[in-house]
Amino acid sequence: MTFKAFIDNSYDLLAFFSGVVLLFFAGGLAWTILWRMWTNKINLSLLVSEKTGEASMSRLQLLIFTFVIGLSLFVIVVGAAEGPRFPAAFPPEILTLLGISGSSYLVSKAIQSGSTATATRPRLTISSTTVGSLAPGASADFSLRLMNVPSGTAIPNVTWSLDAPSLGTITPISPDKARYQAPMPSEGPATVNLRAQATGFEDGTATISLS
Amino acid sequence: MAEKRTDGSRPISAVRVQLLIMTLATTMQYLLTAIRTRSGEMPTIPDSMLELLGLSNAIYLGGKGWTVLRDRLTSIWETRR
Repeated sequence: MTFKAFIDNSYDLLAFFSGVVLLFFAGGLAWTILWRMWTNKINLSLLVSEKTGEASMSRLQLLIFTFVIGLSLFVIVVGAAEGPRFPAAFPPEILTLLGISGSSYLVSKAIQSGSTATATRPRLTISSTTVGSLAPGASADFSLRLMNVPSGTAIPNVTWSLDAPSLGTITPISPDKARYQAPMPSEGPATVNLRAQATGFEDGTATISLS
Repeated sequence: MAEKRTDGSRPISAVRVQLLIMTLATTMQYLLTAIRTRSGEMPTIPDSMLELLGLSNAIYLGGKGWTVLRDRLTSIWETRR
């Protein structure tokens, strides 16, 4: 074997092992993210929502298009008639599609943040918005405050609920208080979102960590 | 699909529905084309579809902008009364 052939061969081997290392790294990263989503350590409950809890169509659209383009690329690469290969070019129409969707999302965010009405709209606020690691079967009390309303405004009829996955139970104990009880036995470390809703008010939310 | 108004009501929003329909239609069209493709190249999207999607997004953003403007004007009006 000549020196040149040896060097060429070494570079091929280096490229191969680098590819294997990258593959395991990307795979490990993907599994870690999926596992953290599955165990609720990555909270996706507001992935397609505005800050106010309303559904955001532009977020949903961007998410759908990103997944569709990614999935299509995978299908095209593995489904090529002469064996798997990366496409030679990426059509500008796809970039336009993602551009439309991304721009729409940005403009939507700008409109939302420019809304002073949202800031001054009556809203519910839950006290002790974060409870540090609640043990299985333990309970915690939450109370409500009304924001952006004239003083002396009566407490409205409030509906307390838990966002999915609704681990544990929430029980109203007075017009402005509710008690959360963690599930027993424990279903592992998780995060639970508590929500208070009333007609004419922005929702109040609180996050509870379960140990 | 509902929009939240200052009075607490949540009517179905036509601008959101039309954007959802356009998004799903574009998605289905592209996915079906991609599944049928065997050339190893990414399929393109018809210009007419992109124009429709752009129009749909513009309608959505216009509707959203109008909602924010309406809420702001309502708020100013109620403060002055």
